[in-house]
Amino acid sequence: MKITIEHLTKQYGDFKAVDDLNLEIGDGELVGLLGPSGCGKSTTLFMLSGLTEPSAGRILFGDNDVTTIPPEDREIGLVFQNYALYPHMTVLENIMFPLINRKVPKQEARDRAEKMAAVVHLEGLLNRKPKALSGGQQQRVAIARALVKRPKVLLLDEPLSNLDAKLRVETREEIRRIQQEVQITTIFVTHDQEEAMSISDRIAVMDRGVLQQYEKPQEMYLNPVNEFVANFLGMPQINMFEGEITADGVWLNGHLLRSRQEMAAGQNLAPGKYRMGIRPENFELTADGPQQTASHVRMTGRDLLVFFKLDETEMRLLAHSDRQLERGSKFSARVRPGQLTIFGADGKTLAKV
Amino acid sequence: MKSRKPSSVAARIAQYAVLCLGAIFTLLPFLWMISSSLKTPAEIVKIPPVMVPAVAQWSNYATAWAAAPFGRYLINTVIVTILTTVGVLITSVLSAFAFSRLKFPGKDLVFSLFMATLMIPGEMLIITNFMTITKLKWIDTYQAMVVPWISNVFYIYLLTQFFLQVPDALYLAAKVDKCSDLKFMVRIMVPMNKSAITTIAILNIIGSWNSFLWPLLVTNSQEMRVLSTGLIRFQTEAGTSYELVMAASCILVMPIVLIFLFLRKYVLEGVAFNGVKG
Repeated sequence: MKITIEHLTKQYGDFKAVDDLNLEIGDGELVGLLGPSGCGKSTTLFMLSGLTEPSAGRILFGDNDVTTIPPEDREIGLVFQNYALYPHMTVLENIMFPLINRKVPKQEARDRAEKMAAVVHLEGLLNRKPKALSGGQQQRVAIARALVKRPKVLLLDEPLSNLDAKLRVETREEIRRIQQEVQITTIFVTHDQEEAMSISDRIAVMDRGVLQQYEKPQEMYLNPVNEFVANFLGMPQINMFEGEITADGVWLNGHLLRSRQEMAAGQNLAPGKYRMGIRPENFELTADGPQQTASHVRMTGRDLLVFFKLDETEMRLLAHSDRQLERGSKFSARVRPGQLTIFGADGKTLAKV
Repeated sequence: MKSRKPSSVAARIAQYAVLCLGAIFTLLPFLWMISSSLKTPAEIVKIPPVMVPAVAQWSNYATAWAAAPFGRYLINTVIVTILTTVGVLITSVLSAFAFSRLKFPGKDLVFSLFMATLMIPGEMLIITNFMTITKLKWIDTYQAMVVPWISNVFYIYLLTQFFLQVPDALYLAAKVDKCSDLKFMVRIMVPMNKSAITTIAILNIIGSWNSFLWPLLVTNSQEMRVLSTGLIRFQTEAGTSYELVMAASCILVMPIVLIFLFLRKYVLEGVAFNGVKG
């Protein structure tokens, strides 16, 4: 089911939780709504579910305008952050509950619930109460309960935030697998950029109620439209600083980051001060060039995270973990070609040089 | 294994001593009632008193049972207790659900007014209630004993607090699952708060079973007496036959003890159930 969101707005008094949101989600797509807390991502999800009434705008499922349709008739499955399982019912009863309410005959409801439980790998646990399950299992019960009524759209509110780190990675793969097996248009809310990038077909990044960028994860990571998106995606975070463009090239105080000759033709940015960003992995260690001193080094396993000062500006650099670098080590580095992002005064991305 | 310090052993002994003393004081009158109900008239007045009768006089029970229409009293008590308890549960669950979940104009004001009635001593209500019952010409009827007691503000308050602890997400999830408000109350709220509701039921059964002043005021005929009022009448009628009064008292108390023992299991079950973070 294709979803179209048109000029969707939610206003609480003077505060706009969601401001003129336009999104189109393709049939069978998995879309992550990503942003810091209070950015309006959950409000958007609850407007899609029908539990929150929009102040303005329309929501279309396929060609049907569902804006005024109550949640129970929208053909959606909704999974809450805390799963909202009914504690006095067994797993099977929880999964059957939406069917029983829809007057599905008991035997059929049971069959469908058991089949759905098999899809989410809960077979042996049907007679347990939710409290006797682990967090990940509870999550799968919630997903099964949401999917058993064969909804057209699956909505997940922070589906992984209540799980511990290892389970998170497993469960997000599980969500992706189930979503692809059932072939259902899915929207999930998260504040974890890694989570969003790893399983989404497309990500919608929001900030203060406004959609910033809607793009495939890789494309968004490589080409953020503005400073906010560049900052929000990526761990360790992008290095942000104020630099200057002159006739000779791009400078950070006395340090030439990119000479005019190295810049592609047509990147004629007017001389002046600009906000700039370099992702830590886009530094390259070189044999020669100005020497830098590592102020400290953190081993993360695959990489070494090296902190150093480039003309008073604190920078983070990712090097391969077989490099012999430690606190006080001297090294030279340069920015990989085309990986220095220049932002305009309004925060929008102007160029990558 | 850590060896216990002598001082902590002494503390334990002191604790148990106090508990035992408490148990003896609570149980003694009860045991005295049972033993007296099995004594002969001579043993009852004997000094020094005997704790265990020489021969248990089981016939006292039959005599007491036959001396007054206790069967009738028992039926009346059961009817009044069941009706008030069912009434209290229905009104408490409905109002607690409304106060905790529903949105309606004046909700806070209505709730405050309910709470304000808790400040009025029960004795003050007896006169107004009695006048109302008289005007309705309900004197000497079941409804006179039942209707004034089918709602209880304290239970409503208690249950509202329990219902408020049920997370909103469950309500929203149920809504998406096509569950109406009424269905949500019956299928989710009530089973989730089984322990609180059972506790209210037990408290109300005990209160209703033991109620004395109100049934005494609003009933006249012997057919409408309940066990408590019947027992008092029996006491005046039986005069000095204390053994018969004690036997009748035992009969009166027994059902409530059984009900408590039976329901206690559910209360504990419910408490254990609610104690786990959902």
